[in-house]
Amino acid sequence: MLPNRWNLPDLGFGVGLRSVHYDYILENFPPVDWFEIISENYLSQGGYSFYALEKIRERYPIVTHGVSLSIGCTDPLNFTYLERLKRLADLMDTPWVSDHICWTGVNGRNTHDLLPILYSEETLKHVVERIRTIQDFLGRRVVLENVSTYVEFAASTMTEWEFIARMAEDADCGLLLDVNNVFVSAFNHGFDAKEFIDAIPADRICQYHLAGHTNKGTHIIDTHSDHVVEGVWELYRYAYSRSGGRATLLEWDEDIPPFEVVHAEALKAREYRDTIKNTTELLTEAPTGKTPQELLTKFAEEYA
Amino acid sequence: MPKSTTEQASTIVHLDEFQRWMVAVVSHFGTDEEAWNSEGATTELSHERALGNVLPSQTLTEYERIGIYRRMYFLRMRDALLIDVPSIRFALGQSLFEEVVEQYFTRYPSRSYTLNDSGLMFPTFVRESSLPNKEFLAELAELELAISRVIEAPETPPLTAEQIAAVPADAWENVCFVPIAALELHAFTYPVHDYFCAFEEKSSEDETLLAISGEPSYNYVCIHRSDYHTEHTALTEAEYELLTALTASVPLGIAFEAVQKHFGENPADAEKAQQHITSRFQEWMMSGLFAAIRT
Ligand SMILES: [Fe+2]
Repeated sequence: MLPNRWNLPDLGFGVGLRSVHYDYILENFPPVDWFEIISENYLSQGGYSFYALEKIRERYPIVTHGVSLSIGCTDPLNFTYLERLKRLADLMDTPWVSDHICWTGVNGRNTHDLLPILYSEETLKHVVERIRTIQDFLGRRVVLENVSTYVEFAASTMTEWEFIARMAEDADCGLLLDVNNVFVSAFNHGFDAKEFIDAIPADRICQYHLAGHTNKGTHIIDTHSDHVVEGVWELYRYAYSRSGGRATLLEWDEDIPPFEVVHAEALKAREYRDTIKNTTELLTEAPTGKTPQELLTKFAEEYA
Repeated sequence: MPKSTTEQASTIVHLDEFQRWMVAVVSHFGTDEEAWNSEGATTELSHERALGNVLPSQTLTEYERIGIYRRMYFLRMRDALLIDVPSIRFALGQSLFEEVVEQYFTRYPSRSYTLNDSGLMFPTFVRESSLPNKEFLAELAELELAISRVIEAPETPPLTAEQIAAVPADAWENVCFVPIAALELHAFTYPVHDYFCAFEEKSSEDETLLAISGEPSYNYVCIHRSDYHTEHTALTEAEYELLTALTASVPLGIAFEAVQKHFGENPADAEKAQQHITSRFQEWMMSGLFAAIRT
């Protein structure tokens, strides 16, 4: 198993915590490795949601996953939001704080969407500065996720994967590789999903996301409304064979089925992992990116 | 289809103008044509520059690709408002409700980090609108928002039976109460609580509209949460006044004295009313409306 560069824990196979499942979880305490929460739903720290979260926290590791960091936005950082996020992260003792490589609005307006980044030097510099500030402020590793996108821009001067790799190195942040999002964007923009994955520094990947989507024929929408498709599982296996053990999480947000169904879907990831016979061997064969030896040497140098 | 180099060169856009343009287009509720040509969008990027920046795919045009974000924006905001003020849809009907969604978020776009705040300005918007029965609708929205606030309020432990029993008999006259955080009292000029109860009675499959009574008729409501279960209960005017006084820490004796005016001239009726409100007060104490008693 290859460590990520900060030795952040491989939490195993988790499920995104959703309010429709609170009662089931509190009654049954199912054998889930960990839960990821949408940070914004708990920032007010009141009501039944927060009560349920506190009870669940007593038994499971919790990772906070936000949707409002708006890292690419040109507005100043919202420190009121960050203050609340920090308080929640501290309470949950989350091993890292994750959000998305996107922006959600501008001029104080929030579209509540994960809007696509313009992949330019200007954006890169802006995003890197903000990540560094946020990481210092939160006192935790920030881990950012690639999003599904439906449009590309002529003003972009680099590919998404080049942007992500450079962003992660320059800002010294972690990455949450959502393989469904890679699949969706690859379909929508016609790029090779494996080329994307090969370009991502494996030692910076702290977590994986898996989810279902909706194929409209002409494009795919990232709906999180269904089972994970075969192509995404294959991509997960491919990515996992490069990185080795990383916390893996299944997201299901629309038409949410009973908890057992969601959990069973998450556990399929373990089956795919188990089909990787020799991670190191597969890793050496990876067409580009760092070899395991390079990664381990680098890790040893930095943390000896 | 890839853009030509000259087309690309003429479309260099900067981050801030790109972002303001995209938000203007995504949050515009008209057609694609109207959104791209809207004042908010063209102030940032002319239609031509914007078109030069957005790339088509093999299967979708520039307009269709941005249109995905536009459609999702509408659905997301509509659903967020529906969560905050579900009964409003039954008062307006689906089609008018969707029109109202567009007008509302155009006038009051979200400025919060959370979608849970989506309905906050809705009563204000309704009062400013030309909707029929707008005062009723505004109060109905206020009731629904109040219920949401109580659901999300922090938990404060309620008075225990032991704490109540520990108050000396001769001290009750002067005790003051501290309410729990998850408690709100409202006086509405329209029968919005009656309406909301009828809405809650409907089965989830029943899509028929609920008629609004345009006539004013006071509704007094207590919304509180006990053991993470939220209740909204109708109050009489006297009960509302008493409970309002108690939650404002008015001493019990004075609060009771102040509501005597509601009990009528007839001594027998007044006696009955007094007994009734006393038993309601005991129910409030036992059902966890108060967090502390100060003697
Ligand atoms: Fe994701």
